[in-house]
Amino acid sequence: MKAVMKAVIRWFRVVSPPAWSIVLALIFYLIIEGFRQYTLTLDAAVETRKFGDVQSGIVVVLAAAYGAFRGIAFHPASRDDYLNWLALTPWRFPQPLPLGPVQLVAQDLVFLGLFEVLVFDATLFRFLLALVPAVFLFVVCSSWAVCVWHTGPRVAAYQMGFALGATLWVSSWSYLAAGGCAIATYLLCARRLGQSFQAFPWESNRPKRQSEGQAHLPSFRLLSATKEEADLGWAFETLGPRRAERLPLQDRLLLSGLVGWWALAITACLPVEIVRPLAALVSIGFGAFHCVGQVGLYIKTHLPPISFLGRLTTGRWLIPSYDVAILPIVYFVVAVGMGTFLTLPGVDWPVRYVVPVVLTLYLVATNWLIPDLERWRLTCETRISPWRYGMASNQYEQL
Amino acid sequence: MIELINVTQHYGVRPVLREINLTIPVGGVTAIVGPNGMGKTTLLGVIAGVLSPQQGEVRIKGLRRRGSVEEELEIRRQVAYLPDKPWLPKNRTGREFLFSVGKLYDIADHRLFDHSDRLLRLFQLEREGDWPIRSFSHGQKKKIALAAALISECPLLLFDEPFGGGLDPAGILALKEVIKRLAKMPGRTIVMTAPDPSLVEELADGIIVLREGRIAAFDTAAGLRKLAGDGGALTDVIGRLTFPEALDAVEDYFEQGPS
Repeated sequence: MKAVMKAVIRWFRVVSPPAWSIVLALIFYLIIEGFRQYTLTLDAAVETRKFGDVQSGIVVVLAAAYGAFRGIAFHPASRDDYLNWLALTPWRFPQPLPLGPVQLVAQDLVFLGLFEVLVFDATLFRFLLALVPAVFLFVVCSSWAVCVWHTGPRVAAYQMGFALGATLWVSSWSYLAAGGCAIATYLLCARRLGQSFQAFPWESNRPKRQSEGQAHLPSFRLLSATKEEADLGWAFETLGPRRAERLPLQDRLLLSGLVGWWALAITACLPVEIVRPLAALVSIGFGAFHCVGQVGLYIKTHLPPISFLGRLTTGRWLIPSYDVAILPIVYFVVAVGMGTFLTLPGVDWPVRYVVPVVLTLYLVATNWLIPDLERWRLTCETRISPWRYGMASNQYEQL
Repeated sequence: MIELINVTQHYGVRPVLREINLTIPVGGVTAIVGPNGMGKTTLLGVIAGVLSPQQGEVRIKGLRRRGSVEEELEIRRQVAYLPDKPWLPKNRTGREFLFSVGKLYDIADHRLFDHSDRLLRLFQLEREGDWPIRSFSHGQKKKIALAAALISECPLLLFDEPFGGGLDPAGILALKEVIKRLAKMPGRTIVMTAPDPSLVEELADGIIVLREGRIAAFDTAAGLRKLAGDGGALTDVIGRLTFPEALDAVEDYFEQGPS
């Protein structure tokens, strides 16, 4: 019996999340279950159902978290040390990955089955039974798309992203069509992931010297980071000969299109009565956040070369090489104005189309018509400030 | 060669540097001196690329600062700038910091190992080199920042008040000797600011005297003495050049009777 238990545990451990996360999820779930059982003793049917629905919602979130874990944690691109070590071994696809499979395996069915049992027990809302595997698969495929994007080829990742958006969109038509689309999307994603592994060791994995440039990508080192790439302080970090390359224009445009496509898919899934206020609110919020973030990224250490008062008194109202970094604010205002105009009575474009179109145009403009960060920092007229290090920004300021 | 052509710099309304035309030759030590608030740090900042002048341009070895991406990167590979108050990554050890700066300047690993050891020994940081920088004293932080500038092996070093910041006598002595020896190496140029001229007299091949944002003089210590007509201490000479009315002001003060 002991041997069987050991074998089962060993079988599960191939893909199981860390023990602490399982314990944490279990405790959280049991607390809610405790409340539900308590309401059962009170014979409060409505309260019991509410707790059951919350519990089911938690299970769906747990399924999503497990999907993200399965999609990313076992992928070598998520860990520098694993990736570098693997590149030195004779491992080649389709041999099994040494630290566990990225593709779905039988153990995942058991975990999914467990989630389904929990949902079935907790709620009468049977729609959630279909939602658990759908959310799990959606998150797994999205995670794969992120991994493929980082390891190349990017075109495959965009195909995966657009296919996932299409699945979401089709789900607003009929569940049958959505099921068919989901299967097709899963097969496409699994194939593209396999093709990505076939190209291992990936080009982006090769070490580069700083001066040769490193792709200016969001860090994908979820579990480790090299100390060499951490802050170098003032003034080496801002004045050192470091150069990061910007994403190619094609990628920036495709990513802008992908955001618009997903916005279209999401708004299609929402009931008509809440699309208008929600879509407007979310898209304006996203645009404002993006615009402030983008401008902040540019100017956080690079201040205008002359104060506002100095601009006024010297007649240099505009400093084109510097002020170009503030253009996203203008684009944002124009986008909001355009969106408002298109939905006015008389023009009457449907909100579910206005939001994706305006959002895409805004992102294309900010990605295309603004010089890349490194070029701007190296050539614009500016005053580099060490304020981000908590140092007085007026070190060089004198009237 | 560093060239400043018609450089005017102001942050707001009043210019801090006014129409500076200057050529600093390759090799040797050039010191920028002058009273407080006369633009020493600003002038060094303009050369270092921290500040874009409102007018004029800076050229280093014929390359224009911020002229193009390639020109700016090429300049940055050859210039290490150490501000008066550098910021150091406090959670990393001194040795890790030196390695990171060395890698930033593409120094080969084997050279970095050796050079960092020698620099830590030079500044008496052999033991502390493997401690997090947050545990360093004020003076030790200054030393590790100086070591970082030196490990870059850049031909042009720009130091803003290198002898300040709590350096102990041993550190000052070590730095003076390092600057002297580096200046003798072919192609190595050091430009630094110093509030106290006596510190740089024995080091500087050329001394730039700033007065109200303009260059009052640029010569050797002997040349400055001749110009000021004063054979005394360099501090007095600089005082005469930057504030000629200083002695008259003293006379005025005592004529009216000290309170």
